[in-house]
Amino acid sequence: MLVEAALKIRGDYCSKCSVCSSACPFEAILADEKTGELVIDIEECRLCGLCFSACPASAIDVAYYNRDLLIGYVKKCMQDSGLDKLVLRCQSTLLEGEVRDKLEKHGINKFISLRVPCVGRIPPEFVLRMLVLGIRKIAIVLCKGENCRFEKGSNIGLLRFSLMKSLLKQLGVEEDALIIIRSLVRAHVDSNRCIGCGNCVYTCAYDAIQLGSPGVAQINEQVCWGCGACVAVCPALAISLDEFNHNSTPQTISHFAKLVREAKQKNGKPTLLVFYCQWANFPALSSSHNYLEGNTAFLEMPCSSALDPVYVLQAFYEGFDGVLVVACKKGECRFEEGNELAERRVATLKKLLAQLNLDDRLEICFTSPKYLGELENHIRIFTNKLESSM
Amino acid sequence: MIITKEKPLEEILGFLAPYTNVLVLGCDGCTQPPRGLKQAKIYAMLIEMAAELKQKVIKCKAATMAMQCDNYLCLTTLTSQLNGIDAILSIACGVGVQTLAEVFPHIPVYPGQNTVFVGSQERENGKLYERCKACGDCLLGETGGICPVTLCAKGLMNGPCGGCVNGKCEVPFEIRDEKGKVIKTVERDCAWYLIYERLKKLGRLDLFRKYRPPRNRAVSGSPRLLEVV
Repeated sequence: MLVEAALKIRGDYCSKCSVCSSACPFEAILADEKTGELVIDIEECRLCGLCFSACPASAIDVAYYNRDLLIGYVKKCMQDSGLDKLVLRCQSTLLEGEVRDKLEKHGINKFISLRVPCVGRIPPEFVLRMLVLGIRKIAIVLCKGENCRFEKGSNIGLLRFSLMKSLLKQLGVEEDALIIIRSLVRAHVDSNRCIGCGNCVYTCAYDAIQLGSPGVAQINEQVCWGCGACVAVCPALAISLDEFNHNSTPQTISHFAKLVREAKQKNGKPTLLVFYCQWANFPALSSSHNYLEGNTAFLEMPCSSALDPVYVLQAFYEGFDGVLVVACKKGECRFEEGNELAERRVATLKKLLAQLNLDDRLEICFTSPKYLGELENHIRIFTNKLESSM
Repeated sequence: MIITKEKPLEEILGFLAPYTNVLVLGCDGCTQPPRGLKQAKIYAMLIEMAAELKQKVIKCKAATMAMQCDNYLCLTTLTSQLNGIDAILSIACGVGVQTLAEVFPHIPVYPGQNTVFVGSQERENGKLYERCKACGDCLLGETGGICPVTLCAKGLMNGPCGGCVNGKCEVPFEIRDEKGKVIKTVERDCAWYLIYERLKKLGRLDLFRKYRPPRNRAVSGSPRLLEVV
């Protein structure tokens, strides 16, 4: 089946100003030498959305998180919850610890959470729209610049929102109506559990982990990128990432297993657990990135290299008929070849599962959100395969 | 570290068939690849699922401990965890299995691993190499840190022999399947060739020329006992 690109330039709106081309970190938008028309090379595109937010003519369409969707989402949350504070953040940031303290210092305790793949894709005037809607305080949580999954997204976002902040000041809007915080998901070691095997030290692509004395792994938080590859190789469950930890993940799997079992009883279709890299699939705007669609449960990972064998086993143990691992396409990993690590891990797991004749119940696919419907295709094919083998 | 290899699930299920409540016990000690809590949990789920496929019920509890080879640690950390446990599946090395069996004579203990050798890990290529035979009379000081007892197929004390061609040994590594059948051979270096090259680099060829008498095999006869106190 043909898949559609998730990013398009509308030629009739485009004024050929080339701002998008200069904003693109991946040189995916180039001007035609003769006509000056801007063309997207979808192969190079990573769907960061920087062009979308940079375009002064609103000539770029992104299938996910466009203006109307974002505004509509906040409006609905305001109606449902009655809250008037908004936290807008990149999906690789975290809201705990220091960040939570900062938010509380500004009186942001309860808030509407808007989590997007990169804050750089949000046009700065969105802030004005929010203030007009009745939002009183907006906190923008950005990645640290050097860790941006889209190279320039975080820094461009910071620049834009800083400008917006000074504009708001000139307009006489309260100083803390717009606050900007930077943070990043990080790995943490539970030193009581660490057995000093050194697996994480070898696996870390950023040399962020050292085995200190007496044989306990220490993570240099300044260098850690938060990919979670170390979490998956730790034999002692001693490493976890802020939002992807050993408390919540097994609970979420059990919870979904129960729900899909009920769904299966009704429709008889196979149940599927999808472990997806948060850069390979952008789910529809919702408060949770772990979600359910019919018989299929989706579980977010910071990178496919964070795929933990114990949770794949748990999925089968809890009765899922199949497990699909969704990684980024080759050469498009936001980290250091995390998708290839995941591919090797799936191969190893298949050998283990072969002893139960479950090896064809586990699959890995490589997708990108820039192709609409690509993941859905994979899920459909896999589900059909499962159905015919049951 | 001590290198172990997973036993086939079929064999483990054979051990556990008569039991219902099983403790799958990992070891955080020197086993490589590590056989800690995660591995114990994976085994516990695999066993329960495999039993279910055979219409049997085995309930597994996963746990781990610091060093299964320490009888005092076994006694103090495990005693409270053994209520209602019919059998223990140890995924540590053979020493762990034996220590548990000794400490808890009333509970059957089964091995989940085949203990293969004392060796080192090459992470880049995912290979584990045998390095030490625990011969009890270490001669690494004379051989540039390369052990002929382990790495020479004949265990020669003065090499190389005539089977060394272009620095390679005539006896290759043999990779075996679960039933012990050789499925692949991998060419390997002659230990004495390596020793010569290393000593040359160190400027200590005098050590190479030295005659070494047959080693004292009395110190490597099993079973051995050391008295430390």
